[in-house]
Amino acid sequence: MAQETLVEVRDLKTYFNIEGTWAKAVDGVSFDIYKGEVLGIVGESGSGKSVTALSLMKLIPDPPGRIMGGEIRFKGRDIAQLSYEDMYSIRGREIAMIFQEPMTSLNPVFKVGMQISEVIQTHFKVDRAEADKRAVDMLRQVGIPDPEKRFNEYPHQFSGGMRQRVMIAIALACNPSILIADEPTTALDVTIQAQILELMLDLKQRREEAAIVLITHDLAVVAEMCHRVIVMYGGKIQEVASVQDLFAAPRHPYTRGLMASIPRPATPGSAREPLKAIPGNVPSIMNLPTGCKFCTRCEVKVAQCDTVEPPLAEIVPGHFVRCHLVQPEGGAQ
Amino acid sequence: MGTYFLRRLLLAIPTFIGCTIVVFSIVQLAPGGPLEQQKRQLQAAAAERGGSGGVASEGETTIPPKALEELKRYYGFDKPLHERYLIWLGLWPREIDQYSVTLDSARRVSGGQFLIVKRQAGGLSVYDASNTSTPITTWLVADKKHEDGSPNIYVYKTTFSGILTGDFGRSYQYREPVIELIKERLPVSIQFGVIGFLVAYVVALYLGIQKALEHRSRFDIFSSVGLFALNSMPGWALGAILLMLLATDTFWSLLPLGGMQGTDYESLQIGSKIIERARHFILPVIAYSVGGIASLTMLMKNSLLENLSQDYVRTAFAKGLREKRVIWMHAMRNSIIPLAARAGFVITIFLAGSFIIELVFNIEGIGKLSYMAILSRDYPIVFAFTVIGVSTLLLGNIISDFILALVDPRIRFK
Ligand SMILES: Nc1ncnc2c1ncn2[C@@H]1O[C@H](COP(=O)(O)OP(=O)(O)OP(=O)(O)O)[C@@H](O)[C@H]1O
Ligand SMILES: [Mg+2]
Repeated sequence: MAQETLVEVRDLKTYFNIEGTWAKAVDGVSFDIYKGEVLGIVGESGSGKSVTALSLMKLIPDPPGRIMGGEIRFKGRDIAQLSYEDMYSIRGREIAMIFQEPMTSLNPVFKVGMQISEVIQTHFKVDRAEADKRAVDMLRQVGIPDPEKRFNEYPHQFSGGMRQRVMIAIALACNPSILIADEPTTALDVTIQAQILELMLDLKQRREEAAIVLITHDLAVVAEMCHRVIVMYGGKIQEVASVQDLFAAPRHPYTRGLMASIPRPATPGSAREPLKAIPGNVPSIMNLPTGCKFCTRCEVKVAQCDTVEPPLAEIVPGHFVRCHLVQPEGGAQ
Repeated sequence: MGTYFLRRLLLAIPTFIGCTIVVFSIVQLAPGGPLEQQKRQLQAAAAERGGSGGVASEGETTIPPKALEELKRYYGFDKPLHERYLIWLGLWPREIDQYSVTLDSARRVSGGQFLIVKRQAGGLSVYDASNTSTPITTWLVADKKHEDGSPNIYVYKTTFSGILTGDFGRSYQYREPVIELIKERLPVSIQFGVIGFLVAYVVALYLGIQKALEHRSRFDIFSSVGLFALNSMPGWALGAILLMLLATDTFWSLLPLGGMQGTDYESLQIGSKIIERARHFILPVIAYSVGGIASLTMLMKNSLLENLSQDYVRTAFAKGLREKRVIWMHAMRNSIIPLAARAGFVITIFLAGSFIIELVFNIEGIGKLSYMAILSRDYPIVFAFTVIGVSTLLLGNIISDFILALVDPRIRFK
């Protein structure tokens, strides 16, 4: 693929110090983000998706968290090594983020308009009036009716979906190269979810260059929105593929398990497939297995899986899988 | 919004009445009232006189019953409790200018007028001595029989005057209108209260913020221990200890022992006057503010810590705002909400605190006045202090709500 790489993440390790021991929330994650793509990150709760995203922004709360190693190459710089001082010009300007909880992500005591124009004034040399004008324009872009009036209202006067629109307005106000959306619709009800995703796609189309990293539980959303998908489990990437490859031929037993747990309408004539949840629970990051992180729940595991961590191998170009049972195309299986 | 506060003000009225009824009844029913005090004084005087003669019989009332009844009438204790309360409020006629009279003999009353009381078919009526054909109505007459059945007739006028008309009565001790006594002393108490209040807030804000930003540091832990120790000691006790340490010859004699100013105050230059005043203020203000500081500091610290871990703080950082702006503008603006809302309540603490602190530092404020009044059963002053106290409490609550509505846009009172 002749795509231009925007971010190169290499062997990222983000740990949390929990009562003296380092819990490996993200442990050796490597991936790229390409210009203009929508990259999905999926995985069950606790798999390290948010920590990966927050690491890109250097927003890991320290203590207890810390980026222990690895590189995050972005525009010739390594974010992992940058000082907090240098991060100020990247956050909100180059990389922006929206969060899962629209109800609590806005400051309750400031007007919505101020919270948008604030980010504009932080990154651009414009006066208050110009920043306010752009903020009203952002409100209009994210589909808030009567933006001049709503500009002067407080977050509690907005519904959850409207607040998430405001968050998107804040995130896109400075035209960042990357927008990270960490489960932006999880807290919203279904019809609102669809509207927000549609809005994101719509805004994306007007920003050819910008990349979106979309973190979600929902594979249906991934199928709809993303170009490429990263599947995470136990702080590690288990599978990376284009969205077509992943849905056509999921390789990792964990990915297959996730796919099997999507409810599908029964096709007429055929018996309805039973919904299959992955058995067992996500292990705590305090005691992950030494071998494959998924071995405690894997239905096809072999003896080797308990002790040896498989490498993330490229089985076809652009499709990476971390599993002892999946060999590169042409190899023995 | 306006209607909300209007309603709150209206609701304060029954609360005010309830509170004052309770205090009024308790105080009036408690033993050792002004009558008993008067009795004791007379007895003591009699004992002294009799002491030389050696015929004093202790414990026996030496006041003639008639004088006692007159005293009762003077203090208004001849009326039932509810009447006394309504009189005090100003909703029941208050008897003034009482003069004991004997039937059919002229009595000089206020204004140089001479009155005669005659028994008519219908009862007693009052005449001007110069015209005994038509009775006058400006003066009233009553006969409360003595215990032995003999007549106890007096003339009087009535008026509606009580706290509702701004009449707090006369102090028994000072023989002066209570309102005058309070007017003199309230500004003094307010000065100390307000300065103590401000000091408490400024110190608590500063300490609380530092403790939150350096959570679990050595400074945080040691200051917590210190605050805990301070919190377990009443302000006046700390004040007394500080006085002993810093204002007496025993240790260091650095600060004045009490009062508002030294004896040579008037002769000082303006600069020295300010220093002199400040020196008198240091210890009392410390005593006033310690009570509030500990709890306000912890409130500030916890509030800021809690807000720093809120999602909107993460959003602010994600926007690329500097740490200073995130903390001092975003988190702080939210953290002061509980402190601001407490302001109205804290004011009442200072009023209560004034009670003994003014005594310890010999400050002529309403706290000391009321404390002395309680000891000597000077009811009008005690009740006036109750009115001030209850009003501050009620007003403090409303002020708190008002401040809360100002600082928190989510609060809209309807
Ligand atoms: N501030 C923190 N302190 C301690 N542990 C943390 C912290 N943040 C995350 N973790 C741990 O890191 C691991 C990964 O968390 P992360 O939030 O990345 O999961 P996730 O994949 O985003 O899950 P979810 O779908 O629930 O958001 C979890 O086990 C979590 O307990
Ligand atoms: Mg998450």
